[in-house]
Parts: sequence; structure tokens; C-alpha cells
Amino acid sequence: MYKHWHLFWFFRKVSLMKLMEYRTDFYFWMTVSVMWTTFNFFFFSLLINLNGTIGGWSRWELYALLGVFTMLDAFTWSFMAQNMWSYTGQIFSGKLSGVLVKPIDAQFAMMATETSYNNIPRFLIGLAAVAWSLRQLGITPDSISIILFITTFFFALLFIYSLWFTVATLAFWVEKLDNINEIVPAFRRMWQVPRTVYIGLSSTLFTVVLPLGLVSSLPTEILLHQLSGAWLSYFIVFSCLTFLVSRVFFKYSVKKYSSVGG
Amino acid sequence: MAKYIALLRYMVIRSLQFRSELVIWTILDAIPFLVLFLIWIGMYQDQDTIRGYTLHQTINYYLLVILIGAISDIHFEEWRSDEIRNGKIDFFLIRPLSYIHEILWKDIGGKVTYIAMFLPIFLLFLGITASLNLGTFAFPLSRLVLFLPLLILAYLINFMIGLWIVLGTFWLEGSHGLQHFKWVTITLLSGSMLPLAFMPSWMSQIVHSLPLKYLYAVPIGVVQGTYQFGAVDAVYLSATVIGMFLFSRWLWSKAVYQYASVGG
Repeated sequence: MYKHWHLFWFFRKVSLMKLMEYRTDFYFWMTVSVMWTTFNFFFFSLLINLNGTIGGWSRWELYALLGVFTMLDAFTWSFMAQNMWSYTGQIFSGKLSGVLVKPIDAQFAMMATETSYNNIPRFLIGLAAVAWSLRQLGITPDSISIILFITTFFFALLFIYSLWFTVATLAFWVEKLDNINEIVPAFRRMWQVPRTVYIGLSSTLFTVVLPLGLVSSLPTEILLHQLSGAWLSYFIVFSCLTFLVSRVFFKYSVKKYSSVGG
Repeated sequence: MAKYIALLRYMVIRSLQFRSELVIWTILDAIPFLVLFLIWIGMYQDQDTIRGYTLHQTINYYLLVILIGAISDIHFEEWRSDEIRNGKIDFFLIRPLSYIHEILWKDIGGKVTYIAMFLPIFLLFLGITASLNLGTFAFPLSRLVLFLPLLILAYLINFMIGLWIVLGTFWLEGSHGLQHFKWVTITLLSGSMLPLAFMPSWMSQIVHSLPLKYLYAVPIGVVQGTYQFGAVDAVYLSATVIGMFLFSRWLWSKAVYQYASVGG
């Protein structure tokens, strides 16, 4: 465990050194991420101006949700995106052997290598939006809410990661599909809105069968003191199961892998 | 003309290799709209109209956004910019075929394949929304006659904006940021994000004053019968396309002198 911990922080240090090397690139992509974040808030502010609520969520409740979504998004792009691209790239090019022969868990090695720091402002904007919205709603979260929020936030990330990794692992089974890594990011729109938006069949699909609609909503509901214990338990169990599936599927799929020589 | 047809044919065949990817793109592109549809269904639950739009009209609006986007959007900026940055366009500069024409005809070729993949999925999507009584198309012939040229002009406007980003690579180290800037600007100011009636008046005025409205808002308004396309529009749109074309030519003439590549 110590080895993994040490390596994790070593990789972060290397990423930071890379950042120092390409500082303009950092500022540039940071600006782009801030631009999209602003756009998201602006778009939903236009929508809520029309009706006053979206899925029964008021303006400030929705902004809190968008804040949580933005924080999750910052983590997703910082810790997952580059590693997933590198993972599928190595499968398609036959260079995965380099990772598989290392004396460390392959899934850990592939998913811990790269970090992007461009999304730090995005995370801070999300955090500020959550804090400001709670203030507007007159809610002061207690320490239990904060601990529960952090726990649920972690499981939301675990769910996103496991889902993305499982989809990326399909790369072992298809000839060549460059946009395989676009599938999970495209589904981000599903957790950008309150779970109450999903009604009827869509509710069953996106909150039970594949609970994408719960990803941002549940952590937000904890902060808004609208926690549903049943949904929270379901989501935590589902996230753990998805993680297990991702590991089992990877170990099964890797047997299909054939590398290039040289 | 034969050489352009050959290019188009080559690109159709080449892009057919990536048909699975094209199908995935089509489905992924529809996801934001699926979420939007659900949001709108929720918003219309306690009212029949919002700013004069019924749920049916609103869904119909976004179906048209999907259709127009599939036909007129372009996505060549990133790889064409890389091509220039890596000094790989020498080949095009010494051939009796303009690089710009090369970009245009190959893009059209790719689009032909994409549309062939997109249409069955879109029709399925349309069938589902129609069966749920959410929205479908009513295309009177008179409106279709105007809609089709508008689609072609929307494509040309998109193409030239994309071309400017590509040509920007001759001066700028990276033009990927310009691409993101383009996406945000077009989404905000073309009417692809929201119908004009749903925008605040200050924003609606900005959209009305800019030619980006001809990408989505005007063609959709023409089909839905909410926009009267008059002589002023015809003049403004023609002047925009001609102006953009002349600027593109001028930009290319300057850009090519910035180019340097390695030998070998």
C-alpha cells in the first residue's frame, strides 16, 4: 500500500514539473475550462429565468447542483481523461505490455500516471458556487453533512471512474474506435441536472438501472438537508459494484491482448 | 470539376472505414438534446406555453437544431491545424489543386457519409418523439424551398469560420482555443441553445444583429413559420457570405507566406 501511495504522489510531482515546463499551455487551457464553466452557469440561469424551477429545484438549489457538477467535472478531467486516452491508445497501438510487466497493479499504474492541473480554477468556481448558493438559501452545513458530502462525492467519482474504465476496456474487444473515450464524457449531461428531471421510464433508467442522474444530485441533496438514506445506500453499493465489475472485466479482457514486438 | 469529385469520392470511401465511430458520434451528439427534452417536458408540466411556444414547438425546435447541426457543422479545425503546424502541407502547395478546395471537398465527402449514417438514427429518434406526441416536422414545400439554400449557406458560414481558425495556425502556436471560443460563441449567439423568444431582450437583440442567426435561428424560424425571411435578410446574408469569402481568400494569400516546413 505504501508503494502505491508513494507512487501516486511521485506521479503528481512529475505532472507538476511538466506543468512548469509548459506554463502557457496551462494558462490557455485554464481559460478554456473557465469559459465553459461560465457558459454552463449562464445557460442554466437562462433556463431557470423562464420558469423559476427546473425539476422542482429553485435557482439557488440548482446553482448548488451545478457547483457540485463543476467540482466533479474538474476531478474527472484532472485525474481521469488523460489516463483513459493513454490507456486506450496503448491497447490500440499494442504498447500496453510496458505497463503489464511492471511490478505494480496495472489498473493503478494506468490510472494514476497523468494529472492535469488546468481544472483547478474550475474546481474553485464550483466550490464557490456551492458556498454562495448555500449562503443564499440560509443553509449552514454541519460537520456531519460535510463528512457525508465528501463521502458521497468520493463514491460519485468512483462510479464515474469505474464506468469510464469499463467502457474504455471495451477497446480490447473492438478493432479500432477512436471515440470510445468520448462515450462517458458525453453522458456527463445526465448528471448536470437534478435527478427529479427524470420522470417515468427515464427515471427508472437513469436513477435505478444506470444511476447517472444521482451522481451530482445526491451530494447536493446532502448539503441541502434533503438526504434520502435509501438512495444514498443504493448509490454507494452500486458504485462499489461498478468498480468491481471494472476490475473483473479488465482482468478478463487483458487475456485477449496481444502486443507488438520490438 | 473531375478532380473535386475524385476528392469527394475518396473521402466518402475513407470515412466509411470509420462508420462505427460515426454512428457513435451521432448517438453521443443526441444525448444533450435528450436531457434538454426531459428538462422542457418538466418545465411544461404546469403550463401549456412558455413565451408563446408550446412543448411541441420547443421539441420541434431542438429536433431541427440536431438536423441542421448534422448537415452544417464542421469539425476539421483540429487536425487541419495540426497538419499545418507539423509542416505537412507542402504536398498541397505544389499540386494544381488549392489547399482550401482540398479542405472543402474532403469535408463534404466526409459529411456525405456522416449524413448517410445520421439520417436513419435521426428518423428513429423522430419516430420516437412523434409516437410520444412530443414533436415532429411539418415541412410545407414553400418553406423547404427556402430552408435548403439556407442550410447550404449555413454550412458555408461554418466552413469559413472553421477555415479562419485553421489559417490562424500560420500565426498562432495553437488554435485549439479558438475552436472552443467558436463553439461557445455559436452556441450562444446562433439560436442553437435556445429559441430567440426564450432569450432575454438584450441577448435577443445581439443575436438579431449578428449573422450567426442564419446558422440556426433563421432556418428554424422559416420552417416553423415564426420568421419572415425578407429582402433585408437576403441582402445581409449574401453580403456576409461574400464578405467572409473575400476575407478567407485574403487571409490565405497572407498565410501561405508564413509557412515553413522541413526538407527531406
